[in-house]
Amino acid sequence: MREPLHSRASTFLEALEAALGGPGQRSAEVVAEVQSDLEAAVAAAIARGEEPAAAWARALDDLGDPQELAAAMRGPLPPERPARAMEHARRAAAVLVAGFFAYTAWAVRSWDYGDRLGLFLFFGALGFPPAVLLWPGIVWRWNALFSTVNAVALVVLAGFLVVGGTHTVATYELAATGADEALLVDGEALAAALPAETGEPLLEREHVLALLILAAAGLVLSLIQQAGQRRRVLLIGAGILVLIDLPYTIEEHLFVREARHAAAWVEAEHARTGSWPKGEEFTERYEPLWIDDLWYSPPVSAEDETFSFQWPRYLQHSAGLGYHSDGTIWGND
Amino acid sequence: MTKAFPPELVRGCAELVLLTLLLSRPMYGYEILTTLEERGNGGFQFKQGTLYPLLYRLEREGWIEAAWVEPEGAKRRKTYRITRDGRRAQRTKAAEWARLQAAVQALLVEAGDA
Repeated sequence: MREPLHSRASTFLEALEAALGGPGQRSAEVVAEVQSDLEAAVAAAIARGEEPAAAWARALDDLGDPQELAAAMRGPLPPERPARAMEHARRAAAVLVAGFFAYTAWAVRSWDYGDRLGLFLFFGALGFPPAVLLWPGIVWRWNALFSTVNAVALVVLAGFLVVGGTHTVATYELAATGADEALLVDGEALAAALPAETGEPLLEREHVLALLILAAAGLVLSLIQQAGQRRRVLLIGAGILVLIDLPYTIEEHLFVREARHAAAWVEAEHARTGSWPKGEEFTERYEPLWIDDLWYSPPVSAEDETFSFQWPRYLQHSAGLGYHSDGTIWGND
Repeated sequence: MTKAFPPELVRGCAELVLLTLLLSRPMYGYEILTTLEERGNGGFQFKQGTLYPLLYRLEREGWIEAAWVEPEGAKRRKTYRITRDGRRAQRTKAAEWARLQAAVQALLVEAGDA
Protein backbone atom coordinates (compact mmCIF):
# COMPACT_ATOMS: atom_id res chain seq x y z
CA MET A 1 0.00 0.00 0.00
CA ARG A 2 1.22 3.45 -0.81
CA GLU A 3 2.22 5.44 2.25
CA PRO A 4 0.84 9.01 2.26
CA LEU A 5 3.57 11.58 1.93
CA HIS A 6 4.77 12.71 5.34
CA SER A 7 4.54 16.47 5.97
CA ARG A 8 8.30 16.61 6.62
CA ALA A 9 8.86 14.91 3.28
CA SER A 10 6.65 17.48 1.51
CA THR A 11 8.66 20.29 3.08
CA PHE A 12 11.91 18.57 2.02
CA LEU A 13 10.75 18.12 -1.58
CA GLU A 14 9.54 21.72 -1.83
CA ALA A 15 12.88 22.94 -0.49
CA LEU A 16 14.72 20.69 -2.95
CA GLU A 17 12.70 22.02 -5.90
CA ALA A 18 13.35 25.61 -4.83
CA ALA A 19 17.08 24.91 -4.41
CA LEU A 20 17.18 23.37 -7.89
CA GLY A 21 15.99 26.65 -9.35
CA GLY A 22 12.24 26.58 -8.81
CA PRO A 23 9.50 24.97 -10.90
CA GLY A 24 10.61 23.62 -14.24
CA GLN A 25 10.55 20.34 -16.12
CA ARG A 26 14.03 19.29 -15.02
CA SER A 27 13.62 20.08 -11.30
CA ALA A 28 10.12 18.55 -11.30
CA GLU A 29 11.61 15.38 -12.76
CA VAL A 30 14.34 15.27 -10.10
CA VAL A 31 11.82 15.85 -7.32
CA ALA A 32 9.54 13.14 -8.74
CA GLU A 33 12.46 10.70 -8.80
CA VAL A 34 13.50 11.51 -5.22
CA GLN A 35 9.91 11.24 -4.05
CA SER A 36 9.41 7.91 -5.80
CA ASP A 37 12.55 6.41 -4.22
CA LEU A 38 11.69 7.94 -0.86
CA GLU A 39 8.28 6.29 -0.90
CA ALA A 40 9.82 2.97 -1.93
CA ALA A 41 12.34 3.17 0.95
CA VAL A 42 9.61 4.00 3.48
CA ALA A 43 7.30 1.25 2.19
CA ALA A 44 10.14 -1.28 2.49
CA ALA A 45 10.97 -0.12 6.03
CA ILE A 46 7.32 -0.35 7.11
CA ALA A 47 7.11 -3.83 5.55
CA ARG A 48 10.09 -4.79 7.75
CA GLY A 49 8.07 -3.65 10.77
CA GLU A 50 9.37 -0.13 11.25
CA GLU A 51 7.03 2.63 12.50
CA PRO A 52 5.95 4.97 9.63
CA ALA A 53 7.18 8.13 11.39
CA ALA A 54 10.57 6.53 12.10
CA ALA A 55 10.78 5.19 8.54
CA TRP A 56 10.14 8.66 7.04
CA ALA A 57 12.63 10.25 9.42
CA ARG A 58 15.38 7.75 8.52
CA ALA A 59 14.73 7.99 4.79
CA LEU A 60 14.85 11.80 4.94
CA ASP A 61 18.03 11.70 7.02
CA ASP A 62 19.61 9.56 4.28
CA LEU A 63 18.89 12.34 1.79
CA GLY A 64 20.59 14.96 3.94
CA ASP A 65 20.05 18.68 3.59
CA PRO A 66 17.95 19.68 0.51
CA GLN A 67 20.23 22.65 -0.26
CA GLU A 68 23.35 20.46 -0.18
CA LEU A 69 21.67 17.75 -2.22
CA ALA A 70 20.56 20.29 -4.84
CA ALA A 71 24.08 21.77 -4.97
CA ALA A 72 25.58 18.30 -5.48
CA MET A 73 23.02 17.50 -8.19
CA ARG A 74 23.16 20.75 -10.14
CA GLY A 75 26.67 20.18 -11.51
CA PRO A 76 26.22 16.79 -13.12
CA LEU A 77 22.49 17.14 -13.88
CA PRO A 78 21.98 16.51 -17.62
CA PRO A 79 20.01 19.14 -19.55
CA GLU A 80 16.30 19.22 -20.02
CA ARG A 81 15.37 17.71 -23.36
CA PRO A 82 13.74 20.16 -25.75
CA ALA A 83 10.26 19.45 -27.12
CA ARG A 84 10.31 16.62 -29.66
CA ALA A 85 9.46 18.88 -32.61
CA MET A 86 12.24 21.28 -31.64
CA GLU A 87 14.66 18.38 -31.23
CA HIS A 88 13.89 17.14 -34.75
CA ALA A 89 14.14 20.67 -36.16
CA ARG A 90 17.54 21.18 -34.55
CA ARG A 91 18.81 17.83 -35.83
CA ALA A 92 17.62 18.65 -39.35
CA ALA A 93 19.28 22.09 -39.18
CA ALA A 94 22.55 20.52 -37.96
CA VAL A 95 22.51 18.01 -40.82
CA LEU A 96 21.80 20.82 -43.32
CA VAL A 97 24.67 22.93 -42.01
CA ALA A 98 27.06 19.95 -42.02
CA GLY A 99 25.83 19.02 -45.51
CA PHE A 100 26.40 22.54 -46.80
CA PHE A 101 29.98 22.62 -45.56
CA ALA A 102 30.62 19.07 -46.79
CA TYR A 103 29.30 20.00 -50.26
CA THR A 104 31.44 23.14 -50.35
CA ALA A 105 34.49 21.14 -49.28
CA TRP A 106 33.65 18.61 -52.02
CA ALA A 107 33.49 21.34 -54.66
CA VAL A 108 36.63 23.13 -53.50
CA ARG A 109 38.62 19.89 -53.15
CA SER A 110 38.41 19.48 -56.93
CA TRP A 111 40.30 22.73 -57.56
CA ASP A 112 43.67 21.39 -56.52
CA TYR A 113 45.65 18.26 -57.06
CA GLY A 114 46.29 16.33 -53.84
CA ASP A 115 46.25 19.40 -51.56
CA ARG A 116 43.71 18.61 -48.88
CA LEU A 117 44.96 19.17 -45.33
CA GLY A 118 44.57 22.96 -45.16
CA LEU A 119 41.27 22.82 -47.01
CA PHE A 120 39.80 20.17 -44.76
CA LEU A 121 41.05 21.91 -41.62
CA PHE A 122 39.41 25.11 -42.82
CA PHE A 123 36.03 23.65 -43.79
CA GLY A 124 36.02 21.20 -40.89
CA ALA A 125 36.71 23.99 -38.39
CA LEU A 126 34.19 26.30 -40.05
CA GLY A 127 31.28 23.84 -40.17
CA PHE A 128 31.99 22.08 -36.88
CA PRO A 129 30.77 24.74 -34.36
CA PRO A 130 27.34 25.48 -35.90
CA ALA A 131 26.57 21.81 -36.56
CA VAL A 132 27.53 20.74 -33.02
CA LEU A 133 25.76 23.66 -31.34
CA LEU A 134 22.59 22.96 -33.30
CA TRP A 135 22.46 19.24 -32.52
CA PRO A 136 20.49 18.87 -29.25
CA GLY A 137 22.06 17.37 -26.14
CA ILE A 138 25.71 17.75 -27.10
CA VAL A 139 26.66 21.16 -25.71
CA TRP A 140 24.62 22.30 -22.75
CA ARG A 141 26.84 23.97 -20.22
CA TRP A 142 29.37 26.75 -20.50
CA ASN A 143 32.49 25.54 -18.78
CA ALA A 144 34.34 28.83 -19.10
CA LEU A 145 37.73 28.06 -17.62
CA PHE A 146 38.25 24.58 -19.00
CA SER A 147 36.92 25.37 -22.48
CA THR A 148 38.61 28.74 -22.92
CA VAL A 149 42.00 27.51 -21.74
CA ASN A 150 41.81 24.63 -24.22
CA ALA A 151 40.83 26.90 -27.09
CA VAL A 152 43.54 29.46 -26.31
CA ALA A 153 46.16 26.71 -26.03
CA LEU A 154 45.08 25.34 -29.42
CA VAL A 155 45.34 28.76 -31.06
CA VAL A 156 48.73 29.52 -29.54
CA LEU A 157 50.03 26.16 -30.72
CA ALA A 158 48.60 26.66 -34.21
CA GLY A 159 50.00 30.21 -34.25
CA PHE A 160 53.49 28.92 -33.47
CA LEU A 161 53.16 26.36 -36.24
CA VAL A 162 52.07 29.03 -38.74
CA VAL A 163 54.84 31.43 -37.75
CA GLY A 164 57.38 28.59 -37.58
CA GLY A 165 56.37 27.50 -41.06
CA THR A 166 56.74 30.99 -42.58
CA HIS A 167 58.90 30.70 -45.66
CA THR A 168 62.01 32.91 -45.63
CA VAL A 169 64.75 32.71 -48.23
CA ALA A 170 68.28 34.01 -48.17
CA THR A 171 70.27 33.72 -51.40
CA TYR A 172 74.09 33.66 -51.49
CA GLU A 173 76.27 33.69 -54.52
CA LEU A 174 79.39 31.62 -54.31
CA ALA A 175 82.32 32.90 -56.27
CA ALA A 176 84.72 30.41 -57.78
CA THR A 177 87.32 31.65 -55.37
CA GLY A 178 86.83 32.69 -51.79
CA ALA A 179 83.97 30.24 -51.23
CA ASP A 180 84.94 29.85 -47.59
CA GLU A 181 84.30 33.55 -46.93
CA ALA A 182 81.02 33.45 -48.82
CA LEU A 183 79.79 30.60 -46.69
CA LEU A 184 80.10 32.72 -43.56
CA VAL A 185 76.67 33.90 -42.49
CA ASP A 186 75.92 37.26 -43.97
CA GLY A 187 74.06 39.01 -41.16
CA GLU A 188 72.66 41.78 -43.34
CA ALA A 189 71.34 39.44 -46.01
CA LEU A 190 69.78 37.22 -43.38
CA ALA A 191 68.15 40.17 -41.60
CA ALA A 192 66.76 41.41 -44.91
CA ALA A 193 65.19 38.02 -45.54
CA LEU A 194 63.29 38.01 -42.27
CA PRO A 195 59.67 39.22 -42.53
CA ALA A 196 60.01 41.59 -39.57
CA GLU A 197 62.80 43.44 -41.28
CA THR A 198 60.89 43.78 -44.52
CA GLY A 199 57.84 45.17 -42.74
CA GLU A 200 55.71 42.08 -43.38
CA PRO A 201 53.56 40.97 -40.42
CA LEU A 202 54.38 37.54 -39.00
CA LEU A 203 50.73 36.55 -39.24
CA GLU A 204 48.81 37.64 -42.28
CA ARG A 205 45.11 38.44 -42.15
CA GLU A 206 44.05 35.04 -43.49
CA HIS A 207 46.23 33.32 -40.88
CA VAL A 208 44.53 35.30 -38.12
CA LEU A 209 41.12 34.43 -39.56
CA ALA A 210 42.07 30.74 -39.79
CA LEU A 211 43.28 30.79 -36.18
CA LEU A 212 40.02 32.36 -35.00
CA ILE A 213 38.02 29.70 -36.85
CA LEU A 214 40.22 27.02 -35.32
CA ALA A 215 39.73 28.58 -31.88
CA ALA A 216 35.95 28.49 -32.29
CA ALA A 217 36.11 24.82 -33.28
CA GLY A 218 38.41 24.02 -30.34
CA LEU A 219 36.14 25.88 -27.95
CA VAL A 220 33.03 24.02 -29.12
CA LEU A 221 34.90 20.71 -29.02
CA SER A 222 35.85 21.21 -25.39
CA LEU A 223 32.28 22.28 -24.58
CA ILE A 224 31.01 18.82 -25.50
CA GLN A 225 30.22 17.34 -22.11
CA GLN A 226 30.56 13.64 -22.80
CA ALA A 227 33.89 12.13 -23.77
CA GLY A 228 32.03 9.49 -25.78
CA GLN A 229 30.11 12.12 -27.74
CA ARG A 230 33.30 14.10 -28.35
CA ARG A 231 34.91 10.97 -29.80
CA ARG A 232 31.85 10.22 -31.93
CA VAL A 233 31.57 13.77 -33.26
CA LEU A 234 35.26 13.78 -34.22
CA LEU A 235 34.94 10.37 -35.87
CA ILE A 236 31.87 11.44 -37.85
CA GLY A 237 33.62 14.67 -38.93
CA ALA A 238 36.74 12.76 -39.97
CA GLY A 239 34.56 10.16 -41.70
CA ILE A 240 32.81 12.84 -43.78
CA LEU A 241 36.17 14.31 -44.82
CA VAL A 242 37.48 10.87 -45.77
CA LEU A 243 34.32 10.26 -47.84
CA ILE A 244 34.93 13.56 -49.62
CA ASP A 245 38.61 12.91 -50.18
CA LEU A 246 38.66 9.25 -51.11
CA PRO A 247 36.93 9.52 -54.53
CA TYR A 248 39.21 12.42 -55.52
CA THR A 249 42.29 10.53 -54.38
CA ILE A 250 41.27 7.51 -56.45
CA GLU A 251 40.50 9.76 -59.42
CA GLU A 252 43.89 11.46 -59.14
CA HIS A 253 45.64 8.11 -58.89
CA LEU A 254 43.90 6.99 -62.11
CA PHE A 255 44.71 10.32 -63.76
CA VAL A 256 48.41 10.00 -62.96
CA ARG A 257 48.47 6.50 -64.40
CA GLU A 258 46.59 7.55 -67.53
CA ALA A 259 48.60 10.77 -67.93
CA ARG A 260 51.94 8.94 -67.75
CA HIS A 261 50.65 6.49 -70.29
CA ALA A 262 49.59 9.35 -72.59
CA ALA A 263 52.92 11.14 -72.12
CA ALA A 264 54.80 7.95 -72.97
CA TRP A 265 52.74 7.65 -76.14
CA VAL A 266 53.53 11.25 -77.14
CA GLU A 267 57.28 10.64 -76.57
CA ALA A 268 57.12 7.36 -78.49
CA GLU A 269 55.33 9.00 -81.42
CA HIS A 270 57.95 11.72 -81.47
CA ALA A 271 60.74 9.16 -81.48
CA ARG A 272 59.03 7.11 -84.18
CA THR A 273 57.97 9.87 -86.60
CA GLY A 274 60.39 12.63 -85.66
CA SER A 275 57.55 15.08 -85.07
CA TRP A 276 55.31 15.77 -82.13
CA PRO A 277 51.72 14.49 -82.39
CA LYS A 278 49.19 17.18 -83.23
CA GLY A 279 46.19 17.96 -81.07
CA GLU A 280 43.79 15.98 -83.28
CA GLU A 281 46.00 12.89 -83.14
CA PHE A 282 46.20 13.10 -79.39
CA THR A 283 42.47 13.64 -78.90
CA GLU A 284 41.64 10.95 -81.43
CA ARG A 285 43.60 8.48 -79.38
CA TYR A 286 42.48 9.52 -75.91
CA GLU A 287 39.14 11.28 -76.13
CA PRO A 288 37.05 8.25 -77.06
CA LEU A 289 38.19 6.36 -73.99
CA TRP A 290 36.62 7.96 -70.96
CA ILE A 291 37.75 11.52 -71.30
CA ASP A 292 35.89 14.25 -73.12
CA ASP A 293 36.75 17.89 -73.57
CA LEU A 294 40.45 17.09 -73.63
CA TRP A 295 42.96 19.92 -74.04
CA TYR A 296 46.43 19.17 -75.45
CA SER A 297 49.25 21.62 -76.02
CA PRO A 298 52.13 20.24 -78.16
CA PRO A 299 55.60 21.89 -78.24
CA VAL A 300 55.25 25.31 -79.86
CA SER A 301 58.62 25.46 -81.63
CA ALA A 302 61.37 23.23 -82.90
CA GLU A 303 63.51 23.99 -79.85
CA ASP A 304 60.65 23.39 -77.47
CA GLU A 305 60.33 19.81 -76.29
CA THR A 306 57.67 20.31 -73.67
CA PHE A 307 54.03 19.49 -73.95
CA SER A 308 51.08 19.43 -71.63
CA PHE A 309 47.50 18.27 -71.54
CA GLN A 310 44.51 18.64 -69.33
CA TRP A 311 41.08 17.10 -69.03
CA PRO A 312 38.06 17.72 -66.78
CA ARG A 313 37.62 15.81 -63.57
CA TYR A 314 35.13 13.01 -63.86
CA LEU A 315 33.77 13.84 -60.37
CA GLN A 316 33.53 17.60 -60.93
CA HIS A 317 33.34 18.69 -64.56
CA SER A 318 33.94 22.36 -63.78
CA ALA A 319 37.47 21.49 -62.57
CA GLY A 320 40.29 19.76 -64.38
CA LEU A 321 43.57 17.93 -63.93
CA GLY A 322 46.65 18.79 -65.92
CA TYR A 323 49.96 17.13 -66.77
CA HIS A 324 53.16 18.72 -67.98
CA SER A 325 55.94 16.76 -69.66
CA ASP A 326 58.34 17.84 -66.89
CA GLY A 327 56.23 15.65 -64.57
CA THR A 328 54.20 18.44 -62.95
CA ILE A 329 50.58 17.60 -62.20
CA TRP A 330 48.12 20.27 -61.21
CA GLY A 331 44.48 20.93 -60.49
CA ASN A 332 42.55 23.59 -62.31
CA ASP A 333 39.33 25.30 -61.27
CA MET B 1 26.72 -8.59 7.82
CA THR B 2 29.93 -6.78 6.89
CA LYS B 3 30.85 -3.52 8.54
CA ALA B 4 30.34 -0.61 6.11
CA PHE B 5 33.39 0.09 3.93
CA PRO B 6 35.13 3.43 4.59
CA PRO B 7 33.47 6.13 2.43
CA GLU B 8 36.78 7.17 0.79
CA LEU B 9 37.31 3.62 -0.47
CA VAL B 10 33.75 3.41 -1.80
CA ARG B 11 34.09 6.81 -3.47
CA GLY B 12 37.11 5.59 -5.43
CA CYS B 13 35.22 2.70 -6.97
CA ALA B 14 31.64 4.00 -6.91
CA GLU B 15 31.37 4.47 -10.68
CA LEU B 16 32.71 0.98 -11.32
CA VAL B 17 30.35 -0.50 -8.74
CA LEU B 18 27.26 1.18 -10.21
CA LEU B 19 28.17 0.37 -13.81
CA THR B 20 28.84 -3.25 -12.88
CA LEU B 21 25.54 -3.46 -11.04
CA LEU B 22 23.62 -2.11 -14.02
CA LEU B 23 25.23 -4.68 -16.33
CA SER B 24 22.79 -7.27 -15.03
CA ARG B 25 19.56 -5.27 -15.60
CA PRO B 26 18.08 -1.76 -15.55
CA MET B 27 17.28 -0.53 -12.02
CA TYR B 28 15.71 2.46 -10.32
CA GLY B 29 17.38 4.48 -7.56
CA TYR B 30 16.11 2.72 -4.45
CA GLU B 31 16.54 -0.68 -6.12
CA ILE B 32 20.19 0.18 -6.77
CA LEU B 33 20.70 1.00 -3.09
CA THR B 34 19.09 -2.19 -1.79
CA THR B 35 20.78 -4.42 -4.36
CA LEU B 36 24.15 -2.91 -3.51
CA GLU B 37 23.54 -3.49 0.15
CA GLU B 38 22.63 -7.13 -0.50
CA ARG B 39 25.50 -7.83 -2.88
CA GLY B 40 28.07 -6.10 -0.68
CA ASN B 41 26.70 -7.93 2.37
CA GLY B 42 26.04 -4.56 3.98
CA GLY B 43 29.50 -3.22 3.12
CA PHE B 44 28.22 -0.75 0.52
CA GLN B 45 26.12 1.75 2.38
CA PHE B 46 25.30 4.41 -0.17
CA LYS B 47 22.80 7.01 0.90
CA GLN B 48 20.18 8.34 -1.47
CA GLY B 49 21.75 11.78 -1.27
CA THR B 50 25.07 10.38 -2.52
CA LEU B 51 23.51 8.22 -5.19
CA TYR B 52 21.74 10.85 -7.32
CA PRO B 53 24.74 13.07 -8.13
CA LEU B 54 26.66 9.92 -9.00
CA LEU B 55 23.89 8.65 -11.28
CA TYR B 56 23.60 12.04 -12.99
CA ARG B 57 27.34 12.12 -13.52
CA LEU B 58 27.23 8.70 -15.20
CA GLU B 59 24.25 9.88 -17.27
CA ARG B 60 26.11 13.02 -18.31
CA GLU B 61 29.05 10.89 -19.45
CA GLY B 62 26.64 8.91 -21.58
CA TRP B 63 27.42 5.69 -19.68
CA ILE B 64 23.86 5.18 -18.45
CA GLU B 65 20.46 6.27 -19.75
CA ALA B 66 17.39 7.11 -17.72
CA ALA B 67 13.77 6.54 -18.64
CA TRP B 68 10.51 6.70 -16.73
CA VAL B 69 8.81 3.30 -16.79
CA GLU B 70 5.51 2.23 -15.33
CA PRO B 71 5.37 -1.52 -14.83
CA GLU B 72 1.89 -3.04 -14.62
CA GLY B 73 0.57 -2.74 -11.10
CA ALA B 74 3.59 -0.83 -9.88
CA LYS B 75 4.44 2.83 -9.48
CA ARG B 76 6.05 4.92 -12.20
CA ARG B 77 9.82 4.90 -11.63
CA LYS B 78 12.88 6.41 -13.19
CA THR B 79 14.99 3.50 -14.33
CA TYR B 80 18.63 3.54 -15.35
CA ARG B 81 20.21 1.25 -17.91
CA ILE B 82 23.81 0.94 -19.01
CA THR B 83 24.73 2.09 -22.53
CA ARG B 84 27.29 0.72 -24.97
CA ASP B 85 29.73 3.44 -23.93
CA GLY B 86 28.97 2.53 -20.33
CA ARG B 87 29.89 -1.10 -20.95
CA ARG B 88 33.15 0.03 -22.47
CA ALA B 89 33.83 2.34 -19.50
CA GLN B 90 32.99 -0.48 -17.11
CA ARG B 91 35.52 -2.78 -18.78
CA THR B 92 38.21 -0.10 -18.61
CA LYS B 93 37.49 0.68 -14.98
CA ALA B 94 37.36 -3.01 -14.07
CA ALA B 95 40.80 -3.53 -15.65
CA GLU B 96 42.18 -0.51 -13.76
CA TRP B 97 40.68 -1.80 -10.55
CA ALA B 98 42.25 -5.24 -11.07
CA ARG B 99 45.65 -3.60 -11.65
CA LEU B 100 45.30 -1.49 -8.52
CA GLN B 101 44.17 -4.47 -6.48
CA ALA B 102 47.11 -6.56 -7.70
CA ALA B 103 49.57 -3.78 -6.94
CA VAL B 104 48.23 -3.24 -3.42
CA GLN B 105 48.16 -6.98 -2.81
CA ALA B 106 51.78 -7.29 -3.94
CA LEU B 107 52.77 -4.55 -1.52
CA LEU B 108 50.91 -6.23 1.31
CA VAL B 109 52.48 -9.61 0.56
CA GLU B 110 55.90 -8.03 0.49
CA ALA B 111 55.24 -6.39 3.85
CA GLY B 112 53.99 -9.69 5.23
CA ASP B 113 50.48 -8.39 5.87
CA ALA B 114 48.70 -10.82 3.59
